[in-house]
Amino acid sequence: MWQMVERAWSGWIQYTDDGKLAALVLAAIVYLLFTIKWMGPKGRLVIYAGIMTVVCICPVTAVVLMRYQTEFYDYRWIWSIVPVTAVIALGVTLFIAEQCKAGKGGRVFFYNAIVTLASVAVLFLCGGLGTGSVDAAQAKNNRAHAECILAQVRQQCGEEACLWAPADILEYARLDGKRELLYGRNMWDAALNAYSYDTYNEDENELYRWMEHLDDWAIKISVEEVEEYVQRGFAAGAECILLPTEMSDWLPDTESETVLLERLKAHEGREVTLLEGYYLLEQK
Amino acid sequence: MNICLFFGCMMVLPIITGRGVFAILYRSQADKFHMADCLITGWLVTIGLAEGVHLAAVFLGWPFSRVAQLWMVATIAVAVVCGGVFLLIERREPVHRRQQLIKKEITPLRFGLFLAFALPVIWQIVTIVSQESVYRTGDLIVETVESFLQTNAVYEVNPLTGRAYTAGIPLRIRILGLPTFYGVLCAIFGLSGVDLVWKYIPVFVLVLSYSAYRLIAETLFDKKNEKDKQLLFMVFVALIFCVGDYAYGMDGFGLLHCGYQGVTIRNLVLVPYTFALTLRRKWAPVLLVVLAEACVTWTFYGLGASFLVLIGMAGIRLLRGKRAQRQWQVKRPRKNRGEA
Repeated sequence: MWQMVERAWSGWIQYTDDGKLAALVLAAIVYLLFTIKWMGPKGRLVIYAGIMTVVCICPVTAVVLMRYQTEFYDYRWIWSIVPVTAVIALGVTLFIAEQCKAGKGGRVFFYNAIVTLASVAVLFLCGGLGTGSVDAAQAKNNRAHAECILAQVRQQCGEEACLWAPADILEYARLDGKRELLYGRNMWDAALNAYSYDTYNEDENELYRWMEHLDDWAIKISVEEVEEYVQRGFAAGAECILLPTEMSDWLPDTESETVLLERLKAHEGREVTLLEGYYLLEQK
Repeated sequence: MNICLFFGCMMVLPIITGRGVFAILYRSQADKFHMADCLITGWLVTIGLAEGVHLAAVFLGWPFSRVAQLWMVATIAVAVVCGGVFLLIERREPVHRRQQLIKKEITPLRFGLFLAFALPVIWQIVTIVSQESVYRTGDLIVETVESFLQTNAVYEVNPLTGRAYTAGIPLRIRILGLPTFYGVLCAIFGLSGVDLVWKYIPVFVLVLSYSAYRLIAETLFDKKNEKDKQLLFMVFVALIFCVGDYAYGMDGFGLLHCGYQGVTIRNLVLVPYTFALTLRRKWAPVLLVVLAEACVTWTFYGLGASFLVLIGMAGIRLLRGKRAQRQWQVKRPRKNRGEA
């Protein structure tokens, strides 16, 4: 129980870390309680919002709500029951409506504009200046790159061959639901494990760790090691494997990319194709 | 063409369904409900039908193609029945319609406010449709939808790997009908999972969300001279969505980056609509909202956020009503109290 209370309190701290809309809703509620008539829809909404906001902030009552919504969801989701957007919008609307003056004239217009812009500025400041938290440009580049590589893999190996590749390629490999993968996004996104009881065996975990460390500058790899893991990948069920060409930078001085390719191609029934930044290995 | 058909059907059919639902619940007073009420309620019924066919697929092992056909037939049938009921009730109990059209006055202020509302909304739609900033952490709905379509079955393979499940999935996930709802839409309208889930559904969620907030605005500012305040309220709702993009869980973040998720539909549509209904003291349709929430997000132990909102608002209404009654009893003339 005490752990839940601590979780609730730390959840509140995190909730108000990046942006201050939660603080703004508190300010709006206080302003509205002194401004509006308590009878009527506005009164009911504000009283409800005030009570529920206190319930969400107080750790003990917040724990009750967290238990109600189940452990599947964390603290931030208990705020779903607080009409944050509606109350802030109501507060700002009434504030501007009361402060703005009626009438014509430059001075009146200027005063009203100042009041409105100040309200908008406060809103922006509380919302983290409107800067988003998702890097759209990076996401766009990642997806475009992955889809380009996957299109080439599709051309070489077909649509359904089981693929083993770096995570940034596998991230987008199941968007058409056709291709099998050696492991999925839940290998690196732990939240996805809540959707299934399936787990990965030690071999699959090891293959993931090895693949993701291929571009680790501190670790040298040998041609033998690459061949070993490639064979393990095929044995685990992969039908085509993508290896980043960058890994040849981490070969010892005595071994070169040419040696690596010769070794990979030497295996009977195996085809090696050079794609943009990757070696595509296919076991026929 | 498919996209136009999709948008057309998913606007018209829910509106007809919603009209019929309100005609059944409120008979001659059905015309007091806004078009937004009909649209949102129609979507709730549509989601409920998807949940029904989803459970049939899960527990009876029906193929997904049959599920999609059944949903399409059921949705059209329900819309036809609801439309028929609405026309029948309107014919038997004609409602007094306003004889004169209310002349909408477009002042420069109102035009300016409308523009101030429209610009952020357009920016939001462009952001959503570009699909560049989709938040995928902890979400696998596109993979799930495409798995259903490819295997013609529900939850036969693990969406993340494409292989058969070895240990299965929790019941709480298995009974949620949202992936099936998206899957049947893809199957019927010939859309890809990525486009439907990341692009079109969030646009619909945006429309439904603003519809719900429009109803709240009309309830809070219900006087004839408060039209400008309604518009101003909507402007700030749009701005709050824009600036609330700073963390997962905020309304703005949900709208712009994961509008397809069940929690986003709950927070942006279902909960605001619950407020819109309870503020107007329309309690019966809230039950539909609670049921729809159960179909889109998992609340197996609890009864959902909409239910809590219903209880909270009903409780406050009850307390306000008792207090008003006590105040009236204190203030009423002595004659009425039976005193000399």
